[in-house]
Amino acid sequence: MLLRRRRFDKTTPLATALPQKLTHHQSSFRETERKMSEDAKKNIAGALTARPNSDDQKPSPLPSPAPAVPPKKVIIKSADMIPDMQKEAVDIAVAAFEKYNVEKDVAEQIKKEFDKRHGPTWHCIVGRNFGSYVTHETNHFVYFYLDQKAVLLFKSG
Amino acid sequence: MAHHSSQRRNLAAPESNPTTPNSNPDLIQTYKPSFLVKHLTNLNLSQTHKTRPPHKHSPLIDTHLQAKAMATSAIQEKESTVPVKRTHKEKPQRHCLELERRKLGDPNDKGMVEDAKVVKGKPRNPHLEKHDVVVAAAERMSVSLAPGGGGGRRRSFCGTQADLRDVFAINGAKMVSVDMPPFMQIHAVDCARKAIDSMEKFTSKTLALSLKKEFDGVYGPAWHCIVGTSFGSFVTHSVGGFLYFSMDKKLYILLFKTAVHKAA
Repeated sequence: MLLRRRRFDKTTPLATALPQKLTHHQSSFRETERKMSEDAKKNIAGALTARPNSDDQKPSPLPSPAPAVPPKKVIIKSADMIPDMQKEAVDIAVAAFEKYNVEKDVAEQIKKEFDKRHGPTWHCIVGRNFGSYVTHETNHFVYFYLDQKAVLLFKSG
Repeated sequence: MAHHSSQRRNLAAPESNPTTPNSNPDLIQTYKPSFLVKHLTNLNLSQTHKTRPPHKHSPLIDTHLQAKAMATSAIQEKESTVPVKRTHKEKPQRHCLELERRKLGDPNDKGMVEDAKVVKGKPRNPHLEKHDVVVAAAERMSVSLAPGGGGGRRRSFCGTQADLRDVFAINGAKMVSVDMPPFMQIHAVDCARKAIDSMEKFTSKTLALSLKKEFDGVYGPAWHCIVGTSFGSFVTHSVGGFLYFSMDKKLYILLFKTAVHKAA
């Protein structure tokens, strides 16, 4: 049963449409200066097929430091991660979505791949409707949209 | 009580051996008091709920204060030992109907799938192999909770399970997957209910923030919270620090803890 491309009607709109920029992310580790260029974002977004995304989900615990990239299939909502790793996360997610239809299997694939490549311990949440608040290591956090699904990937512990 | 304590000891042994073999007796000695503290907390909670109606505010407040105070001392002892991580995954949430169907089938499927995948994933990394033993032990513990909650088979769990069921029924909560002491489960559900009731307009993010900060403050860092109606997850959490439950039949809450290593 292939459900990946279909749109589901939400029974109850639990999330508000407007993003709250006042949301504060809590980190128990030392804060280092973030390095994330807008050009890298555009490259990541431009590398994949363009498709409009009108999803209004906003579970990101961090406000986006740069203005959002024009609507495309991949949108990096928030990131505290080096560009190469972001690109890697998106690629792994794309492959996982092609391979699996169940969200928890996609999350499992992404987490295990990052545990293998970048050492434990990573956590991954995939879904259409969720809010979150997490503590992560510096430079190890990314939150992006892939078509209709949101992917939250971070390292902690 | 006897059965429960024996299982706890089995859990403690694998944790201490691979990490600090020299201080085994110290760890075991410190572990027992915290275990007793938990039971005292459970007894107090059950007595409070039995003697007084849960609708009154002051008894609940007293209960929470007691639980927090005892929990703090318990957590302090816990933190002295190195927490062992366990891999755990959650099922996706799309439709209510699908939820009902999968809930019936999940207990067996989840257990089998987890066992197979854990074994496959671990052998490659020698560091992770140590966790494999604990993973098996922890899973046994979590599995034993399910039949206890359903049919009340184990006598040692009867009081605790009855207490949990009361709190969950009042708040419209249902446990999907648990690896957490009962008093912490009650704390999470009560905290979630209070947060939801106090919001003028509900947002998943606010509820997640509220729960995480509450648990970070009471039980120490680092907790993570995911709230939503449709999401799948795959996380690694500390032993005794994982809770996945539903409220109001459609809202799902994932709360788990990871170990904190200070950046060097």
